[in-house]
Amino acid sequence: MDNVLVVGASSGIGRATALRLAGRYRVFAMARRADRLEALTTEGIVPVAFDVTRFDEITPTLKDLAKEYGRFQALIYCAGVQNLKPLRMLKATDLETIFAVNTYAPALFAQAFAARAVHTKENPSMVFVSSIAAQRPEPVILAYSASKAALDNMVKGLAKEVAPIRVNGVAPGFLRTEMTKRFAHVYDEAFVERVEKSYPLGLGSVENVAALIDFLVSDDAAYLTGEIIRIDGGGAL
Amino acid sequence: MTRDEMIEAIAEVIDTEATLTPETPLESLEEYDSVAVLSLMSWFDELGISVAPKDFEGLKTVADLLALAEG
Repeated sequence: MDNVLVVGASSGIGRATALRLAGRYRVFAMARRADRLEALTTEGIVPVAFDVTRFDEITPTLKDLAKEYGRFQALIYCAGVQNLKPLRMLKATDLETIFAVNTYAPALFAQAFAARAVHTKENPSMVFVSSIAAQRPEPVILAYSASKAALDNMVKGLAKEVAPIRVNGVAPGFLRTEMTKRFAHVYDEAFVERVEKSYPLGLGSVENVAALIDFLVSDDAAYLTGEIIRIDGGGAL
Repeated sequence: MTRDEMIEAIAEVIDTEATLTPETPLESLEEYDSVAVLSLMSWFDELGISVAPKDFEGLKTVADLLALAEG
């Protein structure tokens, strides 16, 4: 059974992906808080407590895991942070926090995964969770949108630089996740209703995105690289 | 923060050049829109005051904003 590493697996798309792949892959679920991964161990998922902003420890950690448990067929990076701040309230620290998790850490995870000692020879691939906001920025999420746009660009650059490792992204539309629930005062029922009406296929789920990630890491996607696939029920059309 | 300093901060947060007084009607400020409300929420958050958009419903004057900030 191939190893896959899901980063940001304690909730949302990461958790749904870990659960979907469990059984067919040996899933290593990474998140900052180990206690939030405990529920996944019953599915045979291996929890790894790690804070993605510990930049200098990313490569040594992945090398240690590969040495102990075997190389990884896939890296799936789902960790992400967002805040809602109008431009005039945005501080340098907001930008730093968002770019640290959404842009810098994925670059360094890609670097770690690309090391020969970390990835398998057969169909190695990386998938990064972006957002439709990367290409369609909205007010008050400027930092988030820009960090995801940088990630989109990185996916394409990486696909060229690290081939034959495949590198792809998924760009979901609005989803009900823990991240968006934190901003329930803005993403309230009226907002969700508007999204539901404006997306041709209505509101999606984290499981929809997990299914696409499942495909992207599979042998069926063996000739697919450098793509960021929008998965928003047609919302961005 | 004194009341005058609070009023000055509110003007800065909503980015208005109007001279604010406690009696200034919010509807007279063209800058007082949904983005201004989100800006005020961020500012309140920095001050350790938790507010929701619905708390801004029905506010009529700058004095009402001050009352919200004072809990």
